[in-house]
Amino acid sequence: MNPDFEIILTASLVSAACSIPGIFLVLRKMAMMSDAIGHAILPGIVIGYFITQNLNSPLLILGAGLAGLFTVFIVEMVNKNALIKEDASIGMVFPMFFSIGVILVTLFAGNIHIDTDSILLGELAFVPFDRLWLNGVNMGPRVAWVMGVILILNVIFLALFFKELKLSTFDKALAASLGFVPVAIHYGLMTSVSLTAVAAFDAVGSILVVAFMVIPPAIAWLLTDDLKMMFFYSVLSGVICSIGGFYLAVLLDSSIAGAITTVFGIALFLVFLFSPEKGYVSTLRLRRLQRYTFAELALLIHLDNHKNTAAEVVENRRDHLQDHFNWETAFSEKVLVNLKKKNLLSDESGLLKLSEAGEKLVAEKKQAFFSAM
Amino acid sequence: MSLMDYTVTVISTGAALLGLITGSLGTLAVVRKQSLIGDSVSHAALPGIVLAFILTGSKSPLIFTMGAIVVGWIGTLIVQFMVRNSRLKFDTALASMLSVFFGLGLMLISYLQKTPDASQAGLEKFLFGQAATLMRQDLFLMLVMGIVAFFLVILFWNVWKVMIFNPDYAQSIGIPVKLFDALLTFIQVIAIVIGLQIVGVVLMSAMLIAPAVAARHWSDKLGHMMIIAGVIGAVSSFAGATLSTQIAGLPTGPVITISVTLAVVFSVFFASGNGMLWKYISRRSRKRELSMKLLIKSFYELSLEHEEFSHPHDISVITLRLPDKYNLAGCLERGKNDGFIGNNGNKWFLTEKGLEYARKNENGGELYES
Repeated sequence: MNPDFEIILTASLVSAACSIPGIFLVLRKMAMMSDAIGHAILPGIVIGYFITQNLNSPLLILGAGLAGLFTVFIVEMVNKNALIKEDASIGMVFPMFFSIGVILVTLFAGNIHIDTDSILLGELAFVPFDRLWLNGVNMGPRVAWVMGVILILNVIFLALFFKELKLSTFDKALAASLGFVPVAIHYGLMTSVSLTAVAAFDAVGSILVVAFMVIPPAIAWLLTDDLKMMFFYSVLSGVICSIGGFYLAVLLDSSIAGAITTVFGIALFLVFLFSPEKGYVSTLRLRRLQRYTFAELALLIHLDNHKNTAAEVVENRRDHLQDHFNWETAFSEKVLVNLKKKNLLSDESGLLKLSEAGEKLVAEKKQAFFSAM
Repeated sequence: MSLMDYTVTVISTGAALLGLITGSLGTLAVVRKQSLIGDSVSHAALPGIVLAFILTGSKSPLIFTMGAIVVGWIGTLIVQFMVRNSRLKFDTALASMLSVFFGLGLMLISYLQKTPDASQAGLEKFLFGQAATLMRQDLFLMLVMGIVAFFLVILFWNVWKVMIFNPDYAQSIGIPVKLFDALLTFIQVIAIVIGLQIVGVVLMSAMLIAPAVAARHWSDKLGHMMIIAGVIGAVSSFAGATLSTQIAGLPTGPVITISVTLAVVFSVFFASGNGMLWKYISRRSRKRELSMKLLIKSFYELSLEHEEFSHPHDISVITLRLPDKYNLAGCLERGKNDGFIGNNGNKWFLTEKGLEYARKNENGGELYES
C-alpha cells in the first residue's frame, strides 16, 4: 500500500472509531470529558510502562483505560461531595492526574523514552513507519490495526447497547425507571471513550483526539435529528475532512493531524452557517419569514375587525398602518405587496379591502384559534 | 538551589502572583459555570502566539501575550456566538474550539519550521510552561495585566454580580449583557494567558478553577470568595514553586497543580462553614440537641400525670415514648451530666433544671430553631 493511502486510512479509522462514543458525549453535554480523559490517561500509560517496560504493549492501553475510568470515578465523587458543578470538577481533576503523570515521568523515567509531549501531539506522518509484523509478514501500519480493533469493539458495544444508550441519553429518568442502570451505561460509555482515546493518541495525540471525538458528531447534529443518520454523517464528515486535511498538510508541508483538525474546524463553521434546517443562515431566514407571516395575518385580522363599520374609512386606510402597527414604511409596503400577490386584499385608492379569499382565511384562522382554546 | 537565589525568588514570586490573579479571577468563571473556559483559552493561545510571531517577526513576551489574548478572546466569542445561534451546547462548542485552534497552531508551527521535531521541541515549553526562564520583566508584565483585570472587575462590580447571578434581570434593567459578557470573558482571558508561561497549557485549567473551588467551601459571598481564592492560589502556588526549585528535576507546573489541588482537598474536608468535617460536627450537635429535647419532653409529659414533677420512672416506661433507634443510654448519661435528670438506680426523675428546660421548649416550635 502506498504511505499516503495508509495515512488517510488510519485517519479515517480514528475518526470512525471516535465518532461512536463522540456522538453520545455531544448529546449528553459531556464533550469536555474527551479532553479530560485524553490527558488523565498519562499516569496510566506511565505506570503501565513501569510494569511492562514496553511502549507497544497492549497492557499499556489497559492501564490507560483504567486511569480514564478512575478519572471519571473521581470526577463523580468530587461532584457528590464538593459544592461545585460538574464542569469545575472535570477541569480540576484531569490536571491533577496529568501532573502526577508528568512528575512520575520526570522523577523515575528520565532516561527512558516517554515524551510527555509525544503523548499530547501524535504525528500521523510517522504511521507508515510503524509496521505490524506477524510471523515475519508485514501486515501494514500497526496503528491502523489497533484503530481497526477499537472501531470493531465500539461497533459491538453500540450494537449491543444501542437501545440503552439512546434511551439513557434522551430520557434518563425513563431509562432508570425501566430498569436500565444509567450508572453502568455511563461507565460503559466512558470505557469506550478511554480505550478509543488511548489507542488514538499514538496517531493524532491526545489533544486532537478531542477534535476527532467532538467535531464530526457536532457536524452531524447540525444536519439531522435522527440518531442513526448522525452516525452516517459523522463518519462521512470524518473521512472527508481526513482526506481534505491530508492534502492540505501535503500542500503546506505541515503537521497532518493539525491540518485535519483545521479542516474539521472549517467544516464545522460552514455547517453551522449553512446547514439546510438548523444552520445560522436558514434560522435567520426562517425568523424573517415568520415575521412577515405574522405581520400579514395581523393586518388581515385588523381589516376584518373594522370592515363594514363606521371606523373603516379611518382604520383600514393604507396610510394608517404605520401608526397602528408601528411599522416602518418599507416593511408595511412589503407586507401589502405580499398580500396583494396572494390575492388576499385589494387597495381601492388608499382604502384596503379584504378579498373573498382573505375573508375566508381570517375566518379559518379565527376558528382554529378558538377551537384550540 | 538556595532559597535566596535570583531565579528561585523570581519563580516563587511569579507563581504567587499568578496564583493570586488566576485564583481570584477564576472565581468568576466557576460561578458562571464556565470553568472549562480556562482549558480552551489556553489551547487557543497557541495559534495566537504563532500568528503574532508571523505578523511581527518579534519574539518579545509582550507581543506573544497580546497575540494569545486576542486569539483566545476571539475563540471564546465564537464559542458564545455558536451556542447562542445553534443547537450546539457550550461544552461541544468549547471542545471544538479548543481542538481546532490548537490544531491550527500546530499546523502553523510545523509550516513555519518544516521539520516535525523542531516544532515539538519549541512546543514543549508552551505545553508545560517554562518557569525556569521567567525573568523580572515577565513579573512586571503579569503585574500590569493583573492590575488592568482587577481594575475592570472592581469598576463594574455591581454589573458582574447581577449578570452572573441573574442574567435575565440584568437584561431587563437595560444592561448591555452581550457587551459585558464579552468584557468579562476578556478579563478571564487575561488571567489565563498570564499563567501560560509558568504552568503551561494543560495545567492552566486547574489554576483557574481549583482556588475558587477551595474558596467556595469557606464562603458563600462572591467578594469574599474572590479574596479567599486569591490568597489560596497565591500561597499554594508559592509553596509548590518553591518546592519544585529545591528538588532537582521536579517540574514546576505539575508541582504547583498538585499543591493547589491539595488546598482544595483540605478545604473540602476542613473548611469552616461548608467543609465536610464542619458539617458533620454541626449535624451531630444538632442531632444530640434534638434527642435531648425529646428525652426531657418525655419526662415532662410523664411528670404531668403525677403530683410532683420529680416522680421517678422506670427506664422501660421512658423507652415506650421514644423512637425505635434511640440511643437512650447515651442520652440519659448526657442528661444527667447537664443536670436535667437524676437517677436512683433504675429509676429516673426530672430535676428542677430539667423542668425549666422542658417548659422553655414546650411549644415545639423552638425544637427546630437552633
